Amino acid sequence: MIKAAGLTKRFGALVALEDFSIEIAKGEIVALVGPNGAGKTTALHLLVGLLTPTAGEVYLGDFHVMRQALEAKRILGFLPDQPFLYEHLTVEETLQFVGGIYQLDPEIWSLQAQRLAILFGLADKMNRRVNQLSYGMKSRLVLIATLLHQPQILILDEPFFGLDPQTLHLMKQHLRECVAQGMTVFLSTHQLSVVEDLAHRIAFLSQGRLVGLGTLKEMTQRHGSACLEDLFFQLTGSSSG
Amino acid sequence: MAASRHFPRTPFVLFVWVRFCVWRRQIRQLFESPAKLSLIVGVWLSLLVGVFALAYYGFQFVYDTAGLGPFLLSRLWFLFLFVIMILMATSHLASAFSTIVRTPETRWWITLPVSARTICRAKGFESTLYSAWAVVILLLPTCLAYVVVLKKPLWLVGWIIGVLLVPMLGIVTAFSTMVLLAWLRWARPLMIRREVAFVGLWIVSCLLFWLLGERQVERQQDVWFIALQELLPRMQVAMSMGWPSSWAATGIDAGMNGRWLEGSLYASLLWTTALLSWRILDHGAARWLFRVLRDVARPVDAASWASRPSSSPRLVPVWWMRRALFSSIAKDVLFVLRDPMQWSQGLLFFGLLGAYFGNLHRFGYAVAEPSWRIGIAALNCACTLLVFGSLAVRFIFPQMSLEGRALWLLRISPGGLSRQMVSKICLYGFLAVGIVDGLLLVSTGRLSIPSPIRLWLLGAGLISSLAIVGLSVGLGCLWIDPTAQDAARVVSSSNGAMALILMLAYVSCVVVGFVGFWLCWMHHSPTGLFGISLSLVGVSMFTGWVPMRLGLKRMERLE
Repeated sequence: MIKAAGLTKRFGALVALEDFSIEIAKGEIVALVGPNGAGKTTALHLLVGLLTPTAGEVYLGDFHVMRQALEAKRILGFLPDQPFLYEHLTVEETLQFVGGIYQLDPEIWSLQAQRLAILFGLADKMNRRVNQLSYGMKSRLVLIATLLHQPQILILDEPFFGLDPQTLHLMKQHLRECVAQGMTVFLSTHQLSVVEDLAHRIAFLSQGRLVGLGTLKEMTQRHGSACLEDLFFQLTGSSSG
Repeated sequence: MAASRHFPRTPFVLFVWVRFCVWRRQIRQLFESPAKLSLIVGVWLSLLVGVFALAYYGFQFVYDTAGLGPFLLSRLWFLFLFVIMILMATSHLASAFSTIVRTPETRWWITLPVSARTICRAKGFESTLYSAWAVVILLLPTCLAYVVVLKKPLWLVGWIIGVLLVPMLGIVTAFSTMVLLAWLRWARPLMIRREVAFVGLWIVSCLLFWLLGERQVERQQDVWFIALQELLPRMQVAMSMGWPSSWAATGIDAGMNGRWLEGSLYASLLWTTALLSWRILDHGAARWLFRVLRDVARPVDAASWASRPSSSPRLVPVWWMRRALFSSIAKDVLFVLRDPMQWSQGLLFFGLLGAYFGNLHRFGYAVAEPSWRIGIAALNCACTLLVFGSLAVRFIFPQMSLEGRALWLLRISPGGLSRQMVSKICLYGFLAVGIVDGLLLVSTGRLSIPSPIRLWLLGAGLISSLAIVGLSVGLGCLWIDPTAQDAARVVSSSNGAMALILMLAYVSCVVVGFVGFWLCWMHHSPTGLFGISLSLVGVSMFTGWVPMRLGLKRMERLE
């Protein structure tokens, strides 16, 4: 479902990402991990078409992310690291806006919005304005807005940051359900416990280069590491202090 | 959630719907505070009445010129609309940049299945509204005064604004947006050295003024007549029929004189060109939009700065300033220096003023009698303060709101938020006095103004620029919006509009003071001069001090 081949991004003399290639199958969860400044956000932005690659190609489903941008975005759900919300809209109006953009049928929109709002505990806050929500509530709203149109591909940048254990649990459970129904998930995170718990495969990024890709079992066996944390330090060259 | 509830389906309508929801809430909030609402309405009404009075007496003065009045008035519209067109084109560049390129909203939109055309059209309209609403409102009393002076029916105001000026502004904003997108698309490498572009523009302006000027020749004719003689040939640029402003001015003249066929033809020309320009923007420039938005991503700036470590200025603490205050000022200096949006417009406008003042001796004013030269110097002072006042609302007023997410850090720091206010007053006060008095020094020097008058003007410039800084920083603290991430949004909010109105009201008082000063000088009235100086100091202290006190209290409450 997601195919990136030879993705490279340079900002002047700075090489943010070099020769990044990955293929993710339908119904698979792949986690992208790496130290700060490794190029994770750049990689995700290239995958969703927020940045133009210096070299390389990206396909989401059967669609080229640059040449068939609209078709690619219709099957994509993207959660950026710093999501945008209209502060003066209510929760319901925000979801109506997203539903309208994805041209959802009002009946389907209503069912979906209601289901997700109940699941993420926002059902009683539908008429509350976004600027009256707490940080956690805003994060939940952004998640609902990303999942509202039931995307085939979900790309998430630090989706678990700032979530309480209950929401984190709900989020993991919901992602597993979605993946069981055929959704493809590619996410970047620093929370290694979530990666261990959720990801089918793990991609390690260090200084703009993909330094490892595979299942946790394969990778720990190949590199002789005891756990994911050791593997992380080994592959990314970071010190455990 | 009502399942049957329908919501807009097309992205453009959705965009308008979101804006409608947001504006409706903001207006409702305004109605919840009747004092604020009545203050805004009151100040706007006084401003409109003031503009009407100024325009009425100005038009009447020109109209009464024997034998030439109606002719001069119609020519004045060419010049006036030309200036409006140039100012709109320049200010719209900044407005479109922040509304289309810089806002996180657009970054979100390009991850959604929305076409570039829709984003370009929606954001183009939005930036046009932001740049044009105040111009249209201020043109209303001007046009009304014109119609009243010529004793024509009042509905002609609707003809001038609705039929001629709206499409003119539409053409200007469409082209300005296209220029911006083309620049970002094709001349992006030049952005690395933005300073070059501004200095280049400044040199070109100097050259233009040098070419337009002429050698000083002694003449024994009436000053007003000399000014007219010299003004008319120079208006050839403004009167070129290639400009939409000239089409609008011709249309106004035709409408006023009952030449409806000609007026309608120019109106058609304006509307056709406006629609064509927006069509080109819609189809052509929109093609570049995604590329531009992808290329102007933040990491580019971060990387370009990262690869230029030598460009970072070294700010060394000074012994006479407290370390904490120095840190706050250093942060503000770096913030301004590293964001070209913060200094580029100031450099442009003050550069143009500097180029004009530097070439004043070539314009024949020097041959005129002293009172005329003093009048010009006072006018230059007012003009500099007007430019500084509008830039202060645009850039200094939103500074405290832009601290945004850093407020938690500032709030728990020992000096607290009030130190931030003091640091901003110090920094911008220093900059303001340097720039304003520097320009006035050039202006008064080139006009050979006698030393006492020069000192008076420099003093007036100093007091007024400090008052403007006090007003901007004070109101910025009083109406702080920590959730804001975009200066344009802060400025275009109701509080921003209010700050602009108060600023214009203060600058109008200063201009009235200058006019009074000039009249007193001509009539040799030392008592009048003293009274005006005292009033200017009083009004400036009140204007600067009261918002600062209120702002300080607000900061203390926030802590």
